[in-house]
Amino acid sequence: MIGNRLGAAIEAIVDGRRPKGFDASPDDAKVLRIAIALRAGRAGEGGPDEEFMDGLHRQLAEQAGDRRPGDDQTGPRQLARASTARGLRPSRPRRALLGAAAAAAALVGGTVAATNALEQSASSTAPQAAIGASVRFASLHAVGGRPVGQVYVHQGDPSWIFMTVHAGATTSTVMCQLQLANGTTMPVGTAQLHDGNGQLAQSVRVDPGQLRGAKLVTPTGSTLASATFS
Amino acid sequence: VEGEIYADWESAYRDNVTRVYRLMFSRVGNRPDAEDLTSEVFRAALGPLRLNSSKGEVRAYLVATAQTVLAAHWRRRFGLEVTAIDPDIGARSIDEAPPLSDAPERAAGILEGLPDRYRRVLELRFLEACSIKETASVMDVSVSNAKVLQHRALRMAASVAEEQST
Repeated sequence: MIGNRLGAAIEAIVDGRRPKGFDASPDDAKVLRIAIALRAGRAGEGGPDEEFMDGLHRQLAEQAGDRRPGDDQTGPRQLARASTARGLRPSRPRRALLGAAAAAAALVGGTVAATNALEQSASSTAPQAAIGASVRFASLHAVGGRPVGQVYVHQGDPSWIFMTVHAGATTSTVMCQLQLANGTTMPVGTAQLHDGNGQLAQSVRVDPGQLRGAKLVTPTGSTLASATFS
Repeated sequence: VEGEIYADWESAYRDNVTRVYRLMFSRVGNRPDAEDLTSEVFRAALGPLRLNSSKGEVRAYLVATAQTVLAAHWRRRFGLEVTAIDPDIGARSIDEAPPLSDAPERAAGILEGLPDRYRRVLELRFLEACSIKETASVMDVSVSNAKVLQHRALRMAASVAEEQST
């Protein structure tokens, strides 16, 4: 027999409502997957409302109005900067990144001189939060095995991820994903690479003990680099 | 599409919002979640997107973003991934024009491998929007039996789907 919570989730799916969350087993997931596939196949379903599309467009446009003069892109860049989307966030401003990078350097035994060489950010809480705490570390490697950077994850509430990458002459935006022990993938944020160099500092809701790996994905969906936590 | 670029972010949004929504709806099966996840994809992806990228690259990036947004959604909701977006399939479906959903074909494929009564109970509930009472009446069984039939049918469909994928 199907459990109460799974049964309730299936009835929600049949009715087109959000199913309530619970700790599902792999067998539960198989049944939910079938229920979703069947419900999505109902005739006349699958297209968005005009009202939804217009509403989202308005929200994006309003946030886009926040952009600074002189930026080389229209709205979306600023739009994403203001975004509160969970899980995926735009790169933090450069000053905060440098402050975080300084903290990362200090965390793995970097010298005071190295820290002082980086611009400090009074507004960033990352450095203070990071120093003295437990850290997971992994080296980033390109597909061919060449080392191209490092990832540090500091345990805390929230935890923080610091990443630096030096990957040839690439100028692109890459997405950072964490791979967890339970097999799931967690998006963390994006970093802009300039001539192959980029950094990311981002708070993240994850138990560092559950980390298995990290991956950088390019806009075309290919893997730029990956890392395995020891 | 290859080589073409979008004039501005609004063009990129208008050209892809339906595609992304359909992709998400086919993976979550309900409108509220599909709308939230579609919003999340655009808020996350349009920021770093470079509009001098080709339309194909923009769409590939949207698929990659949708993939990670969906994975995070399931982790929050059920602690594991219930459905996923295969990057190749996602890219293919998002490139199709007009943006049609393959969900009806997928549903038909699932039902095909089931015994008649199991197939019928799932058709009535999921495809024809019948309540459990209506389903019981059509199948000439009690409401309790209709529930049991539905649950067994879902379990069997899950097993069949798993066998087909291995």
